Amino acid sequence: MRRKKKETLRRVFANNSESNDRYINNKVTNSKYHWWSFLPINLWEQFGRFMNQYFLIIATLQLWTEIAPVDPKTIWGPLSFIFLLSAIKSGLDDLNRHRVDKKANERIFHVIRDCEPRDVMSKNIRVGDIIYLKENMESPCDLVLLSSSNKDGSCYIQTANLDGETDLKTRVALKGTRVLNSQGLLSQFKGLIECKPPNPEIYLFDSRLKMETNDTDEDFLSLSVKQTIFQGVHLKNTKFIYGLSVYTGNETKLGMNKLPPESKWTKIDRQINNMTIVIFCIQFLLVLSLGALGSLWKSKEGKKKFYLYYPRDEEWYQFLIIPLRFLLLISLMIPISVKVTLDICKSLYALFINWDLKMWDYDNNIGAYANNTSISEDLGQIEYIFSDKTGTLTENIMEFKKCSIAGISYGNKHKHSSALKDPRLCKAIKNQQPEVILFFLNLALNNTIVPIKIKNKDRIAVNSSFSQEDSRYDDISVVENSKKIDIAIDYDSNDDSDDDVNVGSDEDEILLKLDHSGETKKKDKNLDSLNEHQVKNESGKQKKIIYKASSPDEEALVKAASTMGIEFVERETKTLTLIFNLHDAKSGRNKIKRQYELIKTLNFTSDRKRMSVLIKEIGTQEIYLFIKGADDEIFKRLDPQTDEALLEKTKNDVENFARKGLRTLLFGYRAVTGKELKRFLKEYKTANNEIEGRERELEKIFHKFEQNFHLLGATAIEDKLQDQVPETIRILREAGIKIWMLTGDKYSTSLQISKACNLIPHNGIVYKIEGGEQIAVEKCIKAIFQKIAVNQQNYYLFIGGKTLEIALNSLKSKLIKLCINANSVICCRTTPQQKSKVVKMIKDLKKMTLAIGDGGNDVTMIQTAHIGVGIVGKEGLQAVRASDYSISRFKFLLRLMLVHGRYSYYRTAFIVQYSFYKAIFFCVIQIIYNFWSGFSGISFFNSMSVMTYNGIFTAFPIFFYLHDKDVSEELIYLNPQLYLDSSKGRFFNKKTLFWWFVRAVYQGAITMLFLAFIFKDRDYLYAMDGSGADQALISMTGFTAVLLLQTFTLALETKHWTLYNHLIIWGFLIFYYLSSLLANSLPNFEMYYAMFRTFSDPIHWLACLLINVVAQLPVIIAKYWSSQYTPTRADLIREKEVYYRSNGLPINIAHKSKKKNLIYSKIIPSYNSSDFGNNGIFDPIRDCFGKRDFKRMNKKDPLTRLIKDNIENELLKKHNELHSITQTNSKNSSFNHLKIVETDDDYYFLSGNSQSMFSTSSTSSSFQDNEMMI
Amino acid sequence: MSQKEKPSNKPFKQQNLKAWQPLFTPKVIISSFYLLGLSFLIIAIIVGAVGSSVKTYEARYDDKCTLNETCTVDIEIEEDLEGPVYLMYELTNYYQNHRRYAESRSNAQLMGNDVSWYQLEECIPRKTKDGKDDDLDQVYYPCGIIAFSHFNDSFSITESGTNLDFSDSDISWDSDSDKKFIKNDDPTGIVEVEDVSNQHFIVWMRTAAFPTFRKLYSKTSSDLKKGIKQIQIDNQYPSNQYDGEKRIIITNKCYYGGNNRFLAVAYGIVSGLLFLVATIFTFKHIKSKPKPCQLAWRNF
Repeated sequence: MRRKKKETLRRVFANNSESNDRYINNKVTNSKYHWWSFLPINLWEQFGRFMNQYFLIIATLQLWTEIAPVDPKTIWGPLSFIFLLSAIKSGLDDLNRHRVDKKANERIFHVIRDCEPRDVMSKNIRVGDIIYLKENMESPCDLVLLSSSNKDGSCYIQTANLDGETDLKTRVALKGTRVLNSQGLLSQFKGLIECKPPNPEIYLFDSRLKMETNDTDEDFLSLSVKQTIFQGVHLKNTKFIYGLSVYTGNETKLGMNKLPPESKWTKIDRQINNMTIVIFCIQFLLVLSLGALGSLWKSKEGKKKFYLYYPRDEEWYQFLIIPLRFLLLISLMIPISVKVTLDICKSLYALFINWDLKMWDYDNNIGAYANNTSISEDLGQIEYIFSDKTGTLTENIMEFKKCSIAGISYGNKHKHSSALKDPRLCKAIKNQQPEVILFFLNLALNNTIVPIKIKNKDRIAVNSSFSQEDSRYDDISVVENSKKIDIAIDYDSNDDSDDDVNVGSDEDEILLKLDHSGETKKKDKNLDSLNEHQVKNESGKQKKIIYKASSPDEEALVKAASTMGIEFVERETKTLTLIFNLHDAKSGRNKIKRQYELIKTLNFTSDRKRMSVLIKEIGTQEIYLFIKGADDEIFKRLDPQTDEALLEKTKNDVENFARKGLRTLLFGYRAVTGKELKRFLKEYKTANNEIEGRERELEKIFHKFEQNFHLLGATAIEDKLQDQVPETIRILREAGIKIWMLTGDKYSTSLQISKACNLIPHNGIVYKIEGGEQIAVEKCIKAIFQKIAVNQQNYYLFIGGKTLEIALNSLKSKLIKLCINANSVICCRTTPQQKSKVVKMIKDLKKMTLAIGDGGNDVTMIQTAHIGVGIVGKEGLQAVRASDYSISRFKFLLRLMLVHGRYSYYRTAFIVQYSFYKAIFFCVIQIIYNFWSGFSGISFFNSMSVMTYNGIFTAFPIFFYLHDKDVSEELIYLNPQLYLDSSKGRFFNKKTLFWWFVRAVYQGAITMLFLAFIFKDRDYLYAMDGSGADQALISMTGFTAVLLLQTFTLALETKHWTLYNHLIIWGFLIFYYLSSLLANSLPNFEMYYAMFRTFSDPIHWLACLLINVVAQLPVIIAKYWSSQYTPTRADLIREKEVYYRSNGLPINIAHKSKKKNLIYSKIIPSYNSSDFGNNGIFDPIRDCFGKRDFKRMNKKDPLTRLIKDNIENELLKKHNELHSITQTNSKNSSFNHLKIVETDDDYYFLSGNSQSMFSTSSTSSSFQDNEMMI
Repeated sequence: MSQKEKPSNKPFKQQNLKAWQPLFTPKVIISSFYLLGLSFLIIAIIVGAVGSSVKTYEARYDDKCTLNETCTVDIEIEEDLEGPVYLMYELTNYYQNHRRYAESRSNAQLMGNDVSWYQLEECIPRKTKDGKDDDLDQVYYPCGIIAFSHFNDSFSITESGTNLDFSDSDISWDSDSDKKFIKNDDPTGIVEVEDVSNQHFIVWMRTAAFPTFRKLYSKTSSDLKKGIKQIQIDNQYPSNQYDGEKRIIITNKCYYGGNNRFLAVAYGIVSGLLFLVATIFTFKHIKSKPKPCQLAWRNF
């Protein structure tokens, strides 16, 4: 049944099940386990992880009582709990998958197999079955469309399951098969399809079909994606289709794409892993040395002690016992709970992101969402952001603004005026200037838009016959998505080239066929009546047609044409209908319907950067090739004889438009002769029949054909910047993050947008790397290096796609050097692959990267970066599906990173380090105690204590550390530099780890030594009955002291005490006392009554107090000293915040200015004029942030140095201004209250009284949105 | 894919719960150091003063007495001891906390339960007399090496020939004699080692945490007048086999038990340290000029 050999070419025979037998059936399995294989597979998976293996070995060793230091329950309990938890989780998931699979596999389908119709269950469908699919049904396997209920063989499908796009796409059956639309005909069908073996390419289906299996002719018809209906796709707006199944089961495109996404590891995860390995090594050394000591003691001392009853002859394995005991004793050093704790915490971070109202988009009612719940702390570590332009920085709402036709620029009065209102253009239209008409004709025809007629009651009444037809389009949301970059060129194979007769025939014949199509005629009639209707209702209803487009640019263009009177009203597979709403002198009518035959669409791809349509006007039989595209593409393809002046003029205009930040497109046309057309179609057909390399061949033909255009003109479309983009970028910059823009758009537009959105300051130095070949690029880079060496200034870099490719391939190291030092890099005209290559280049430098985008062309980049952020935009859901986080506006990125990212990192860093600290601390006590027990590997604490210490008393109280903040949210916005704390990893690095380690060892040693000195002392006597100190008593006292110490450690580290923190931290201490008293009142427990005795013993309390104070004293001293004398930035800001709050001052001093904008004061630590040193230069970092911070910042990081310079410059500038203000103010003598002084449009300064002058500054311009900042 | 439901505006979910933000300001830190230093000083004085009322008299006897013979050791009590007065023995170099020793017992058996063989698992290497793992007829009662090595010296205290009223009836934990050490009256086929309800045995079974330890032998609630006391020792326990010393101790107690000198000293030293640190902080704070942009409230 199953294929043994690797398949090279799949041959599918219709109505001949025997020959298709070797392919698998259509049983879809998404589930991982069967009921009988669940346990073994799941356990196998869980034990695949190193940590789990380690714990399992430890737990197994525990079963050997001779070496188990404590009751085996102490490790088996938590271990099985953890295993059970994750087994239940994957079990439930799988159960769900089973249910879904079963449902999918047992659907009944009507199929034709071996010339007979039959009903089969989905799982029994075979390759070669002809499947009957009705409207709204989901395709059970990959089909090749044979015919549909529509005569032209077309149907609509929705591919949401496959690629997440909810728009409808058309599929068209081959001309040869579309007549086979009944069971009778199809059961006679003996076709053969040859296709590639199963593969995951969902945009590629290069294969061919032969109508008759026995036909000896090598005459194949070519099939493409246009004829496919893949598994999981829904049939829409089509009554039924027949399709031949080619791939089944898990070999379908959907099945091949089902691979689970690669799980991402965060930086902290990697650090934890490294740390675990280090601790493992330390453990190993300890085990070896303690084991050796133990064996030594045993042979020197232990054997002499009769009371130990060592046997004379020992088993051979005895030498292992002591080391193994130590291994088990200190195995707790690697906390078993850390993974579970982290998983829980990370899920909660993700929920915090999902819950965040401040990232809620009130306009569209979409919130932020974490698709990946395990990487939130990486959001706090980002050093580079790669952003898409359109739809990410901009709104992607396009508005037709200006145009230039035949060298005349319209709408150029001022920046915001629209060409559509330009009287000159109206006049030109009225006069029916041929270039103008052709220009708008191009606009109206050269697109992939589907006009949709809105049903309304008036029209139904007039024209009931039409409405039925019409309903087909009713719920089409978006039709035909042309901007999908990954699509291999999407050909219209439904045209007549399939058919020899047609290729041979001339235009007349093509037209004849069209004219005889019944449907077209019917349409005509309908259209006529519609026209009449429209005339009748001229004044009443204007908008009867809406345009659904995947590309907002196209929509804007078609709308513009419509406004100017050339209205695109209907698209059929081959016919485009326009209504000319012009005054026609000849007919006297206002509206003329014209139809055009669409011979061919040469689609837009981001590689081609152009699109053309081959159009024949029905009636005049004139054939035109209309082209539109990026300026460089079009200028290349113009008629060499084009008027120089016109060319110059248009180039100028385009340049002008682009400078205004508008998106420009150029338009051209040429007439095509019948001969030319014939030749083209023939070449096209041959190329289209290739299975391998079809795209390349086609591209060649297109390139040859798209030449010698007459220039029509250019359009300029405005794409508005999104809300608060410049501010967001400014703050992200200040946070030490480099922002690069990677766009498919052209240089001038990119430059304009990047200036508008603050990526490049208006006077910024911009270098552009140019050159079409390696030598030129190399030269250019060299020149830039020289300039940089001379200028020593911040600079910005521009790279075009082609140059980028060359530089990436052969000049990578130089490019990297140039890019890293640049303030920002903008890559224009890039393909998706280039985008991801750029991201990869930076990622390889071990920098943390984040890519943000909204469209399908950003998917690869989003997947490449450490963190991918998708913007829920207008270009489908591809980017969002691929992303780790989805947000709806660019500005929310700020909150996502600065607040959620930083906090997540801050909290995770603490929780991880604390988990290891408390485990090591505990083990240190155990180890030291063994020095008094002859290194015998005994546990100081009893089993119950060991189990509850890690499992309960230290695991739960850290839970509400999840609400901890070192500084509040507002202050992070106001001091974006705080982000450096997390991006430079200041909360979790070798140094912090070292100090936690020292702390653990010190505190553990203090605890054990003090206990020993207090109770070992010969004078200890229990006050009530004179008993001596016994092990149970001391270990219970020790455990109480340990828990007190942990509670206070947590209390010391918590900086943000909410009610929950109080409840859980103190609550668990009280819980400990109560529960231990309870446990001690049960005689079956080992430590029965010990607790009552310790609590009534004053020595116990004195010991706990002493141990805690001595253990915490150095910590408190260090904390106080560093916060006081070498404070970090966060320390200072926090201090100021607390001061402000306790004095009832608002943290963000807001003031409503004349512009009604909120001004936010920037609480960098205050300074007053006397603070500026001798030379009057104020070094904010050295003086404000303390020497340590300064040194740290200066040390090795060019980035921080750069930021420091920036801050310095900025502050110096402000200082000078402030100086002038204070001088003027001092003339007015006293001012005790705060004052707002307006210096210029952008900066406001706030001066306080002389005792504490809080200098504040901020850009006022557009923090209108209170929501965002507070 | 994306959040479709509008989140609720709960402070917990929005992470803006009201909070207290403690700060390590000079005011708080320096003053609390002084306060803590002062209270530690007071504790040190009290612990020292109260503890000094404890008088302890001890004598080593393992070097004076020969094994398996009775001998008498004199202890001179220099001043009157207020009751209760305790008679204790001390062992050195005795690892009751050794991994092999401390766990070699069956609590179930000691509690008087009828036990099955697996409940005696931990008694190895002294579980059954014939060494067979599951031979319940030969089980030691009580099993395990703690019970097997029970300290069997006995003491009586006399003054000029008359026995003093020292009792050994109430020397173990009440909880132990009530619940944990109960004699099983009908142990089937068991090799009896020791009387489980013997008070000395119960005290012995409370294993010590360190290799030098004292255990209570007997006590009297009445005062002990000064003078020379003779202690009759039945010297049975072979301490020289493991280089251990044996001592006999007479002591009284104070409010908190024995005279814990270490605590007093430690509290004193820590108190001194606290004062020292606090003083350094104070000077540092006064001396160090506020740096540019250091905040006004730092000068308290």
